[in-house]
Amino acid sequence: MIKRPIILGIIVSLAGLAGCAGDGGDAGDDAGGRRLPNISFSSGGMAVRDVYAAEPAAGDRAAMYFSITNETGSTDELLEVSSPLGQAEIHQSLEENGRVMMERVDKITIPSGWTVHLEPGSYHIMLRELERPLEAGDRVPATLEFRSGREIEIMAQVRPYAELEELLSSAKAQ
Amino acid sequence: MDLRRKLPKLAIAVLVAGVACGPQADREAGAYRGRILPEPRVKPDFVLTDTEGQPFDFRAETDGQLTLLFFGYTHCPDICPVHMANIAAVLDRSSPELRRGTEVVFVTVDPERDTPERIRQWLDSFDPSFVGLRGDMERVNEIQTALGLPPAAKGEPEDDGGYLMGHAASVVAFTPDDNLAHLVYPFGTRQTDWAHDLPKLIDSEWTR
Repeated sequence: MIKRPIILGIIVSLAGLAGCAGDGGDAGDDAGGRRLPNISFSSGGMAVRDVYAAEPAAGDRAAMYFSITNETGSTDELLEVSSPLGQAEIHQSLEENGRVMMERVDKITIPSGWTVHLEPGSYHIMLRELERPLEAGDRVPATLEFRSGREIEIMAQVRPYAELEELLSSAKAQ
Repeated sequence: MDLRRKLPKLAIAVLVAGVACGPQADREAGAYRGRILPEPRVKPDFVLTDTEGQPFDFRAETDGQLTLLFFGYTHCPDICPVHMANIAAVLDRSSPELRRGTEVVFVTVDPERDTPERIRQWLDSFDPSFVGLRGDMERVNEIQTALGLPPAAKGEPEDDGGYLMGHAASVVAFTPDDNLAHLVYPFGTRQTDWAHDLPKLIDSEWTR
């Protein structure tokens, strides 16, 4: 089996990362410190951006959202997500006859040239059995594994649910 | 001469403004961001238990209030907290009159796991004034059916013994003047939509 070398690069403005550590950051920040720098985690032509986890309202589980852009030239699939902080599963919320139901899915397909947005009401990463309660300002590390063998390490910013709408829609507008 | 050219437009503008201010305005498409129901729904008559363990008579307690009713569960990480957080964020930025005149009522569809304490803790993370109610599943499903909402359904068990629930995605809004629901707010309703509609809903006139 040929394993392609994986260039795991975290493309970050390093100043941006430092900004994430708690002082609200400076790059692209508004007065309220709401927008943190746009950190991109990537491997080859696959980039994961705007990685957020919602601050859980009742402790034990949290949803993680991000955008994946595939510019590798071929379709790839996100198969596994893992985090040292708890169980991670790929979930999808589906609405049928006015009823929403979440279900576990075994992959997210990202065709080349596409960006897939994980967002409320759609795909999300469900974090369960969290080691400790997450609070706004925390960071959640996770690893994404793709069918191609590519792996990308990401770091989610934990934000309150009320801020997600704005954060994710500005991420989408980019 | 300029004025003469503008006059017809001005007349139309006045006419439109006149119509928009009249009592009929509430029934017009486009006046609200929520989905207008073809037939208004009656406020359901039920008594469930609140997070203090006290009976909560929904009709009596919410009479004359702008009432937002939502069925969900606290283990829901993706839909329920987004609705609650968005409403709470908008109310927090609203006038004291709007906050006082609005009652947000959450009814659990998962009484098995949602203890009164857990519901309280969950709601407090959004807004301590939100009311949390619990009752047996059958009764809660009857209430949903009466409102034209799909009853909740329990999903497949997960590895750790947990489970997910399927439940109605919409928030039902009862207007203060007639205690009827004319609008529902599907999932995807944004804070700007609530900020647009809540002040209109509280002052709306449907009786007449």
